[in-house]
Amino acid sequence: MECSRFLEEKISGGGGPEFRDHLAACEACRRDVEEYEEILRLYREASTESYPGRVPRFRRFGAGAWLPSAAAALLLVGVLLYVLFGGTGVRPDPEPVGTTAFFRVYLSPWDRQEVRWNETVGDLWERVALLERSRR
Amino acid sequence: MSVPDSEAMDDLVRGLKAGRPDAYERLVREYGDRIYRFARRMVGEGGAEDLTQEVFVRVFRSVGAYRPGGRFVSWLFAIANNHCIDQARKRRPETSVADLGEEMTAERFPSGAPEPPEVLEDEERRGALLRAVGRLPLEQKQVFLLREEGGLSFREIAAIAGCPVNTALGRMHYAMESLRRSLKAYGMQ
Repeated sequence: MECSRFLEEKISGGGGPEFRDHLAACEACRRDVEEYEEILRLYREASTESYPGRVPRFRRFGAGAWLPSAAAALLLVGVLLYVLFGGTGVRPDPEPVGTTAFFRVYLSPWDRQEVRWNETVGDLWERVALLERSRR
Repeated sequence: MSVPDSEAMDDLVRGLKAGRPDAYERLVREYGDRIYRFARRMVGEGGAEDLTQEVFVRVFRSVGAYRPGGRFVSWLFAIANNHCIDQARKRRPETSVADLGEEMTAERFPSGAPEPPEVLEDEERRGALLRAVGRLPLEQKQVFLLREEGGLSFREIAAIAGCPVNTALGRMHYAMESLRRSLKAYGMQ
């Protein structure tokens, strides 16, 4: 029972005066400590392998490490603009006169007309009114 | 009560959080061997190198969330320990930690036959001891390795293993007794 009080000291080595007094009087604990120390010494001699791998590389490292990602994103945006707007970034107006609009007009639940106008907005509403009247 | 990190360690943690490559290289240089040996004893030689690298990747990913409530090395080995146990579970899902020790023993030491009880040379003694460590049940091996490779206190080990300090001490004691019996069986002591 007395010996079990010093479990940590026996395993860890060291210990205070109380443990040293106990060791002086207890041969079994002295033997335990000696053999545990021998096992740990042997283990430390044996466990000497080195990590054979290399330091993993991460692109996040470094103050300017985000630059390649940003450049790739910009390039992607540029390609998208080129595909969508013909390379200038702005779609040229094919018919510069008036306002181009695309309307889907529902005149009844079973009928609809899709109309593309190239006129001013005022003319547009006139057309819509005309279309509605023609459907009545 | 936690043991504070040294100034050099605080600097390392600051460097890791800032994403400095030199801090990361220092981390691998200082702890790579110990983490590798821990992984190698826990899961076996095959895959220990990959596992070590994965531990560092995990550290890299989660160091931003690290709050210095204890020693950094304790946090580092907690990650290594969790990852090793995850890897062991992947081999045999739905297996308890205690059973994993048996499974890994059987895998790594298929014959199970003890070596001849003769007086061995130093090199053989060291090899036999490493094999004996490998044969420990995983719960004992975990405590033994966190102590020996991690250099952690039993309080830190208990926190990582999720058990009371006395349980961690008991597991270490059983591990030492088991190793002592193994060495005696080999005629070493």
